[in-house]
Amino acid sequence: MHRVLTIQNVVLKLRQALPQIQGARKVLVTAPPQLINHVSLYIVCAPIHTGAGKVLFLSVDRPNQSIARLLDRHCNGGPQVLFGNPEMDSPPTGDVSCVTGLFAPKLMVDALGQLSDGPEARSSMVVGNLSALGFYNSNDRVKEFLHRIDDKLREQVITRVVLVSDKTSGYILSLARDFAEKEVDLSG
Amino acid sequence: MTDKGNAGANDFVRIKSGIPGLDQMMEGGFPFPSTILVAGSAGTGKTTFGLQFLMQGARDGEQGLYFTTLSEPTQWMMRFASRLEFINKDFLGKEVKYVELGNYLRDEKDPRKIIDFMEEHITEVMPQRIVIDPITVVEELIGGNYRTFLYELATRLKNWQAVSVLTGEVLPDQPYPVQVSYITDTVILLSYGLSPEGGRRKYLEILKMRGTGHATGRHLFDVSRNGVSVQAGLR
Repeated sequence: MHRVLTIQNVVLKLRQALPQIQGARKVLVTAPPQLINHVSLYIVCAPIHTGAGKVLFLSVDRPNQSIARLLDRHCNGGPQVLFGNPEMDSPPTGDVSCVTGLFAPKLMVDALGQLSDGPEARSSMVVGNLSALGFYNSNDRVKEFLHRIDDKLREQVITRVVLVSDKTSGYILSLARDFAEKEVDLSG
Repeated sequence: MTDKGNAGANDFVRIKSGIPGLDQMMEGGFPFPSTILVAGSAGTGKTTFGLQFLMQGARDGEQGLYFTTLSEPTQWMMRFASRLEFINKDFLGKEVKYVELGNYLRDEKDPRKIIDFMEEHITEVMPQRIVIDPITVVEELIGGNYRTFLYELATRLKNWQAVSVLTGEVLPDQPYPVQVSYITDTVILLSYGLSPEGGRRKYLEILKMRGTGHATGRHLFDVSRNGVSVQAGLR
């Protein structure tokens, strides 16, 4: 029988999968395309709900305004959200630092890195929707992007990364699978 | 070795329209996300089309949001809609939410404020499917600000990960609402024609669909208590 994937079902599956990914630094979460927004938002909000640290959110093809509205409405208490300006003199103190864009994702990672206020901040990074990068960037650029994230993990600018993707782009999905230590499949 | 390939060469995600016969005319469904204009004169089935689209989403586990620009209480619209066989009342108020915009539009003429008001509901519900029915009434209510409203609406709708269906009245002096067609990815026209015997028939035609190979020409369609259905290939 066809099982309908509502956001409630997907979030339940995600919660059930959490014990399997505890401790993993590089996680890939695949979800149905229509629910990517919801899943990304849930993953961004989770550390804030539990006071587990700050979040760097790299959001592909969503403008600042809509991300801000979503976080304000759906994240408990409305977190302090800061949108990326890597030219700032001093690092900000928001709960969520966000960079949104379409092209040159490697630069987006650098911008986010500069927004992080040092290793003591214990920031995690969420990328959503990874598969959408394929509409705007060559395969090489997406590869560089993942290498750049690896660099940031090594430098301890970030402690963990969660890539949220759908399964429409086979190439990007295979890159993401090679990159990730653990995968959570919420798409079926 | 470098790979300069196009990682996004795969197809768009598509969602079912909910209209029997239509998906096979457009590579399996509407691209997700995208904006659709469904245009037609009175009685051609635009509202029924929109409701069917939302009910299909509800069956597929998606959230739908229906904005009506008419000053029509929910119960009035639902009284008529409840006669349609495809309406599952369990979805109403939950998977399919209804927002009455008409009263707000009568008092507020500032396009940005109107769209902010709509966006508050979209943020709350996070729908995958949105219907604005009918969009063309907004021109009568806000007058000279209509063009700004449309451009602002198009920009904002494209930022939400949803398929938005805008319905539009066709006036006698125009083939379809041209201003709205500029801001949408797809234009579907519902029209009347005469059969060889002189009877009135209804036709559906996909005039434009970005990124999709689609059937061309007019195709017979029917509106009944089962909703809109297209007889693809019958002209």
